[in-house]
Amino acid sequence: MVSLLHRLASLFRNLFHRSRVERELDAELVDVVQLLTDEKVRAGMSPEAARRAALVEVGGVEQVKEEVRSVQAGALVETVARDVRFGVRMLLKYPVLSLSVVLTFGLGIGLTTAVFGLLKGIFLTGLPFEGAERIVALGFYDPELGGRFEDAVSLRQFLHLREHQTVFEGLAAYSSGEVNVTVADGGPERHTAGFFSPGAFEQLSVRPVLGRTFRPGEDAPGAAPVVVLGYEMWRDRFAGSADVLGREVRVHGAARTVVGVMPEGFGFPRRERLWLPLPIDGSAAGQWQNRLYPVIGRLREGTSLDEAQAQVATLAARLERPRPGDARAPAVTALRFMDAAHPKGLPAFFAALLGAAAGVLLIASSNVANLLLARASARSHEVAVRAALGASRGRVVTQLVVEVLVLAGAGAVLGLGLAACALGWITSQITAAEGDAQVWMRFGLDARVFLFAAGVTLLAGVASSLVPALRTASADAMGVLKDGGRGTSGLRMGRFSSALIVAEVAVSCVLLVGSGLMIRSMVRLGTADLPFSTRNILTAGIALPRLDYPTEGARASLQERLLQLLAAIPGAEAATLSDNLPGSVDNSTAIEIEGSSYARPSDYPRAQWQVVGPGYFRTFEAAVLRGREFNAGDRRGALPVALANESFARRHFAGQEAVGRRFRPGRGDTTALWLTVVGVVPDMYMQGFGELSGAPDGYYVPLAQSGSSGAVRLALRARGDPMALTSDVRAAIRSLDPSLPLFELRSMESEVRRATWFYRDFGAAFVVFGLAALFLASVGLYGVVSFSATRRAHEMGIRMALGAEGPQLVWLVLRKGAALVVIGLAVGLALAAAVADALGVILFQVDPRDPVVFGGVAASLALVGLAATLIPASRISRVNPVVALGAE
Amino acid sequence: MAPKPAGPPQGTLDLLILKSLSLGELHGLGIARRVEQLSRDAFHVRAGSLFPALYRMEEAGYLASEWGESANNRRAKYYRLTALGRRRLETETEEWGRVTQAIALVLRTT
Repeated sequence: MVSLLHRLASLFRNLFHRSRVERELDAELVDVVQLLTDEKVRAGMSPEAARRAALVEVGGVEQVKEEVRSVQAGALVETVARDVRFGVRMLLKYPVLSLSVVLTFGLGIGLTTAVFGLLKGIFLTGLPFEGAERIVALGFYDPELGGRFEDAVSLRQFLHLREHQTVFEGLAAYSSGEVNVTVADGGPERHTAGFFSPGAFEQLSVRPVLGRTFRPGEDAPGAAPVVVLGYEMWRDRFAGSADVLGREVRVHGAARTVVGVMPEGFGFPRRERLWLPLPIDGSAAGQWQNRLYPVIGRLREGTSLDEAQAQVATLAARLERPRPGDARAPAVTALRFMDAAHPKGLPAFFAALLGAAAGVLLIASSNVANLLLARASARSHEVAVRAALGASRGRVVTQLVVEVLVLAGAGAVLGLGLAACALGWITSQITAAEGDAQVWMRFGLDARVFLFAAGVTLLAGVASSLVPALRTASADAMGVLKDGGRGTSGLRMGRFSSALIVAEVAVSCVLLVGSGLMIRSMVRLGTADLPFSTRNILTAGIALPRLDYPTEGARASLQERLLQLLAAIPGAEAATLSDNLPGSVDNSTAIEIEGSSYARPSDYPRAQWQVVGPGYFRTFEAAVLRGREFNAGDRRGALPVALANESFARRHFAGQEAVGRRFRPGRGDTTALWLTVVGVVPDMYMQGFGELSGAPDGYYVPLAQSGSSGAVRLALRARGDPMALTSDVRAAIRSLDPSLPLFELRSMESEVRRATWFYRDFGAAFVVFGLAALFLASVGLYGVVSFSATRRAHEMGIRMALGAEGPQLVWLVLRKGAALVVIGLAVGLALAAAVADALGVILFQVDPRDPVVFGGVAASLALVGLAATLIPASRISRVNPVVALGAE
Repeated sequence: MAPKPAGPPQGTLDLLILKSLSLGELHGLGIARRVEQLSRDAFHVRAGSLFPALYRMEEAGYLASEWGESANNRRAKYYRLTALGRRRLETETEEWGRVTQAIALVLRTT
């Protein structure tokens, strides 16, 4: 230990006071020579002879100094610094080679780092709050979700736990949703609001910058209406003025008093603009069917998660299970918030993305290794000279590796720039498509990304340089020097180079198959033969505030009038209202078919359901297959009706006429009305575009019979450009109620693009990886074949002088390259078949074994491989034997 | 003519330096002379081996050094053993005893 400290101290002394140590050594050696001279003079020698003899005896002051230096602790650092300087010099000496190595490393490191940054943003970040690791979420493992953790509990469970628990500083429920907001005399706007029960801000440990948060009781029915503003809203709508407290903001038409302002950037779980108390009506809590609420709590200091879980389980067990009658229904428990929020494990898709990036890096490193091997033989002369002058083998290897690390470092800088751009792009895509990302997702470059990039750089640098360096250093110095400066001759295409090329071709084959599948998937998305039309359709959202439209009748009547006005707009062909647009909803429920009996609650089938108004299928030009679609007659009080989609009809009424049959939602819920099927319609992605099948069982109910909340989407098919009708649509709404905001106004095409961004953007990422791989692999193949051909110029000259014809020589060079490509392709296709299955998740209606893609990739790789070998091969055949033989 | 004195056997230089300093502090040349004297001129220590060893051992904490005056008023750097160096001398001496015994045993039996 003491010795270690000593060495460390010496290291610093030597590093930072290098000149002092050197001076001391100098002085000491001068003194030794002086002492020796004195001795010899005393023994009777003349002063000059004595001094000469003393110098001889010491054995050369410089050599002694060099030997002392090499045992000093700072020596290694000094050596590395010298190597780095030398590396930079070499970099400048061979600019083309250096540049290509830097670019190659930059591409590989950049793509890998970008993927890591993305994964870090999703999986490795935490809540940006004080003591965030103590924040827990309540919920249960839901067997209906495949045992996934559902981070929500019923209102009854929440109220019970909140009252009796002692392990948390508090428990608070929250949710978020869109609201209509009117500030002062501005027009109505649509914003995302957080609904927090009192105490939620405190569990997150975030204090307002102004005023206060919610007090207990402010969530009770009849409490004074209050609102807490987000920083951005305060800044933009109240000019950041301090007298905002006590001012009035209308939310859904109802006046609320501003009581506080939250700090900039605060949001939970997304980035909400304002917060309202989550209205909790204790009297409604008796029914377990009440919707589930996400609940958070903060563990008390000194309480472990285990203790909390035990208490939550004990308390919750006193209430009925989340689903009464279902004996297997799980008990409530608590998880750390981020454990509940992060998906378990790395989804196959992200693994594939990481794999693709690693593949590009692998190809990049192989390319660099091959370039270095080529240069190694050219530099073997220089290395041999240094070895002959006494450089040890380890010294030569270190120096060569450090040189490459210098290049890799430059590549890393480039790569980080690339990664920053890629991450910026993906953040903007996510924000554009999904609104603001969750508050814990942060995709920027941070310390971990830098650390990762540094690690990857080191790994790639050493991996690609070690073998070439060892090979160079082990070359027999005498042999090389005798070889007339030609370098290690006979080096055609080493076995190592060949193996690298095979690996490169195989890996790029896998990546190309991946991107080929992606391209097909994207083309399908673009031209998707959707069962409905997206052309010339304008869509928008509109929400009727409960205060102004308190009854179902009032809402239905306004919706009916709106529909008439929309249909009457000149240039409009059809119009409809529905709760959601095609492909953007995922609601499912248990159902009961009339005449069927079900033994257990879990035996009831499930189906997707959606609320649509009259003219929905006409507007989206989807053919009604049997029966009719909804019309103005399907109103409240009339016969409750439904439309079944094809899958629903096939599963439940197979072979029989579906129209006229009845079913009802719920598990034997006698309060639900039986719905009579009046028509069968095509499958229309009722589970969203995310589902590959596009065809879950599903049914539709009429808007006027649904007890609609008043938040609907309108869709209007125009004869020409739908967006040209924007002002007419606005005018129609204004004529009904000027306080209603129209939001998310866009064409159906852009709506579909938004819904499918995931496929498109991540598909694009794979295409980038594939093209990068193809580019790098073809450059690598070209480089190796061309290098080997050049080295064989001498041999070719002899062959030609002996009468070989040009085409024979071309074949000679081509044969080797072609063999490598074929082997690489065979390995690559086999690997790709295995990997393609993981990509299934993000493939839109494409078979992961698509023969067109596999065939296309094989053909194009073979073609590129052929070109990469043919160019150098044909060059060699045109070589002039006289020049080739004379060249050396 | 007597055979030219050789350097000490590999790995023994440290032990010889430690031993020569066990009686008191010496400057570099003094150490070389002391080794020659103690080994009855069997070993000759080259400056090229001595100084690297001295610097290495000083860094390891076995030796300490300071500038002083030699017997005839020349400036010189004097080395002495540290406590760590003394312990090192003991263990190395023991070790050396074991090695020589073992070698002797091997040589006797063959």
